[in-house]
Amino acid sequence: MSEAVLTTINQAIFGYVLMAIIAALCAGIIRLIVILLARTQKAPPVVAPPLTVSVLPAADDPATIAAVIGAAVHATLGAPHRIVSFAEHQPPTANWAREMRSRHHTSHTPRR
Amino acid sequence: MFDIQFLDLFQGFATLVASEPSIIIGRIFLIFLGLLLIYLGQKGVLEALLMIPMGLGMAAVNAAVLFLPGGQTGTLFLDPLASGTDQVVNELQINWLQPIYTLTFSNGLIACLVFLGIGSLLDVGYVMQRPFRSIFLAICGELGTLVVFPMGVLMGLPVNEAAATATIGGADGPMVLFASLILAPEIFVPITVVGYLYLGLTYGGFPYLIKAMVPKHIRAIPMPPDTARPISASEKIVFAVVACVLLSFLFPVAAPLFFSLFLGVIVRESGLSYFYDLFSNQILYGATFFLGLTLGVLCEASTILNPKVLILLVIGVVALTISAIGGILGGYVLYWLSGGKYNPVIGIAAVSCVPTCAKIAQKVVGEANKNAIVLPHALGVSISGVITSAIFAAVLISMLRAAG
Repeated sequence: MSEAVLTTINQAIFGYVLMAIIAALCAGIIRLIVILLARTQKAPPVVAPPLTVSVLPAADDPATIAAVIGAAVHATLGAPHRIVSFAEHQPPTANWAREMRSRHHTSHTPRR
Repeated sequence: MFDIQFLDLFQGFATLVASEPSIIIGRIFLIFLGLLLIYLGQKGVLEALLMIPMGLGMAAVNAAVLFLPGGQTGTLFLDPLASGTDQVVNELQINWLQPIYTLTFSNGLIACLVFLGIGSLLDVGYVMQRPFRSIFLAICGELGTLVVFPMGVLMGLPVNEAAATATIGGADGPMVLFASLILAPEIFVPITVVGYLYLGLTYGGFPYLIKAMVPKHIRAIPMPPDTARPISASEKIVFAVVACVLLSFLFPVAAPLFFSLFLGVIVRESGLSYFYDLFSNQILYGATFFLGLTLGVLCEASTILNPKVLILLVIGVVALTISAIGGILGGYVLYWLSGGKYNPVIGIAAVSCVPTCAKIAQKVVGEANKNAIVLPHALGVSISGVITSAIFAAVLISMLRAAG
């Protein structure tokens, strides 16, 4: 076997061993990251049991519906909000101009 | 009445007649090879995304040779041999694909763009849930590169060309392109084309290898339900940042590849959905299209016909086969260490070729046992294969550049 081939075999083995060591080091770093960051993780939130909701409203009372929507708004948005109007849902295709304007106004938000 | 010759009118035919016999045969062969690639791509035997533009480029460029001023032959696609500032600038204004070639190939940009897109598709959580097993198998899957590097020298290739060709064993197309551009720029076209051709064949060929090496009752082993906790996006980002900086520090010569890969991972995990959509769709598929097209166009007979191509064809297939065998043998090691609970077929995913080999593992295991799910494990191994391939390529490049 020629000198060049023997040199190449040595280079190949050296390169393979070096690659294996660095790859194992990467695996060790991964394990370390997972262990260290696991300590900073919050405990999983307690999940409330699912609510049973009837498909049809018990009574078609606009005042009750307004109160429920108001409570939902308060629960989700927190700060004081005022409901200006209720309207039936319109298909989005009918409001494409408004929708595009809204998308344009929020397009600089990096996270959707 | 004007006087015009048939051969003056149809220059593709005229250049064919005026060529040497070897070029005539080469051009006709490559035209038919291009048509075959289109057919196999369309049928799904080879990767259609690459093979259809590559095949058409290969067929068209060998048909479209014409006489250039000065009596030389060439095409209006691109001139890969253009050198010197004046000639390159002239060619940029004449050949329609010259800007893509000059500005994205010779500096490795196209490989980095593909890697950026691949990074944005990788979920490193699969590796982070079981890093040592995944990395161990990925190291085994680099066996082909280890064996083929000296084999190439034994078959007569210079050491730099043998090393570039050996990276086919890592089964990452962009990595093969990047390594061959740095180590063997004079034959990077045949190396990359051979690499991509064989990578396209893995989906059809590897199942036979697995079935030959792993009996059906072992292929059917179901992996136990995963009890590892889910990895959060923050943890994935921390890993990507640390790995990118560390590997760039160790191997500055391959830093563009590491950077592109981990940038894609970070974009995916940071919720930047505009960037994610851009990288995982337009950038990845745009770069893949131009990669395939330009590689096909570079296969012009007078450029690519080289006696070394035969050697590349042999050691390319040997590299991929030995890597696959190494991965499965690594799977057997884990099978024995786990007392028969680990499915060794997962080892085939160590050949990387994300995500093809992981899908092969699931497909073959699914045929033996419909209820066995190995895909999460295989994806972790496959992603580790990308990392180890990049490290091995970086080691080879650094080592050979240091040796002069």
